[in-house]
Amino acid sequence: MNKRFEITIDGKKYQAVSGQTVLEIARKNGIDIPSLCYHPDLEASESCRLCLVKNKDTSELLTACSLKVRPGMRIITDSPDIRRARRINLELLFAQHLEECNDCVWSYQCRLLELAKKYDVKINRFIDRKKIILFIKWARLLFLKAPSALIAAIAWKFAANKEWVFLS
Amino acid sequence: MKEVIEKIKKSGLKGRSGSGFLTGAKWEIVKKATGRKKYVICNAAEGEPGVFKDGFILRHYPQEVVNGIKIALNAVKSDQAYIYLRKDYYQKYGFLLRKIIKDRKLPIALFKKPDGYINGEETVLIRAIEGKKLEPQKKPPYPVTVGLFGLPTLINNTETFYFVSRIIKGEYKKTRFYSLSGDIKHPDTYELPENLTIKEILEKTGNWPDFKFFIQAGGGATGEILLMDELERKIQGLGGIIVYHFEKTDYFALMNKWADFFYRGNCDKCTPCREGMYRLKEILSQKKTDKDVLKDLFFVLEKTSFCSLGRNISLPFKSLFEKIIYEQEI
Repeated sequence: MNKRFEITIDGKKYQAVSGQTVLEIARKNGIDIPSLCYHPDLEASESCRLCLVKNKDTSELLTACSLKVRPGMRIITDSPDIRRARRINLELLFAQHLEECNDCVWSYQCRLLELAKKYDVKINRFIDRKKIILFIKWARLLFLKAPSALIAAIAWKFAANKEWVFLS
Repeated sequence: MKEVIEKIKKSGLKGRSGSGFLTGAKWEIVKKATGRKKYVICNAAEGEPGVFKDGFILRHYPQEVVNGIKIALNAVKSDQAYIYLRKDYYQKYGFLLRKIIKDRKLPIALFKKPDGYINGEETVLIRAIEGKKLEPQKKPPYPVTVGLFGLPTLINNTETFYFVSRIIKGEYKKTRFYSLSGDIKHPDTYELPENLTIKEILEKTGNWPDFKFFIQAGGGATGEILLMDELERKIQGLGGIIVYHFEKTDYFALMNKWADFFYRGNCDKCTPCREGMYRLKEILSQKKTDKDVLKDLFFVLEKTSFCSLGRNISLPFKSLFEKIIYEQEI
C-alpha cells in the first residue's frame, strides 16, 4: 500500500508517495536539481554526484536520485556547500571532456556547458587527462595509448610505413 | 544453538574488519532474517598494506578459523559458506584449508578475490561471488538481510571467526591482533589485550624507537597519521601500526605510494573518487602543495563519494599535510 505524506523541500511542503525519490518530486514541482547520469527509465547509478541535496536534520550531502522520501523529511537543494561540491565535481568531469566542442554534434547546446555557466565552473582548471600519450616501441611493434582521434592519425601514418600498430 | 549467540554477546566481541560492529548482534539479525537459504562468508581479502594479521591467522590457526565458520553455520542455520581469499593467500593456504574442510566434511567453498583494493568491501565481495560488475552497492539494505543472491548473508573477518572459536572454547581473554611494521626492530603480528594504548603496544613489544618518529595507525593506506605526543589512545579500526622515521622519510614518496594504491584499487564508479584520485596522484607526483586544489579535492572526496572507501581516502593525506608538511613550511 502506498502511503501519502508531505515532505519539505527548501521550506515549502510537497505531496509525496512512499517509494518516490526526492529528485522525482523536485522535477515534478519545477525545482531544479542538476544531474547527468540520471535517467527516469533506468535504475539510479549515482555516479555523477551532481544531484546532491542536504538533509537539514543530519546536514550530510546525499544524492537526490537515490534518496527515497520519508515522512517529515526536510531537504535543502541549494546552499554554499552544495554549490561548492557540484562545482568541483563538474570541474573534475570537465577535465576529461575538454577541447571537443568544435567537432561535437551538440554544437554548444550541451548540458555540461549550461551547468558550467550556472555553477561558475573554471572548465580548464585541470589539464586534459587524455592528452597523455604513451609510446612503447619494441622491435617493429608499436604500442600506444592516446586519444582516439590521435590514434587514428598515428595509425594511418604507421600503416603507410607498413609497421604493426596495436591500439589501446 | 541459542547459547552460542548469547555467549558471543556476553563476550562483547566486536567485528575485526575495521568498523567494529557487535558480532553477537550481527549474528542475531542474520538468524532472525527470513530467506529460503542463508550464507556465511569469511572475509580474508585483507587488501590494506601494512596489515597482515589475517595471513598470520590463516598460517598458524586455520583449524580455528574453520571451526569458527562451522559454529556460524550452525548458529544462523545456514548450509553454505565461503572463504573469500586474497590471491596470494589462496595460493599459499588454499591447499591446507581445503584439506581441513574435506576432513571435517563441511559445506565451505574457497573463492579467490579479484585484484583491487575495493574488492574487499562487503558489497563488492558479494558481487564478485555472484559474478557481476565489481562495484559497491548502496547500504541499506545491508548484507545481513539482502546479501549474496539476495539472501541473508553473514560476513565476518577471519580474525572474528578465529575469536568466535576461542569464545566457544572458553579461551577468549579480550585480545586482538596487531600488525607492526615500518622502521622498527621486530616487525611482526602480536596478540595483545584490546585496551592497550598505542604507546603501550610499542613499548611492550620492544619496538619503541629511539629516534623522532610518527606513525600511521589503522592501516598502511587509510590509517591516520599520529605524532609522538598523540599515542596515548587506543587504536581504531584494523590493528595496523606503521612507524616512520621523522627525518628520513620522504613524505611525497609516501603519499605517492598511497595515491597510486588508491588509484589502482578503486572501482571508478563515482566522479570524486575516479577523477579526484587521478588529480591527487598527479599533484603529488609533481610535488605541489596547492592548498586550494587539495582542499577542494578532499572536500568532494569526503562529502560526496559513493562508498566508505572514497570517504576515507582523504584522512591520511589530510593528517600528514596538516600535522607535518604545512607545519614545516611555516
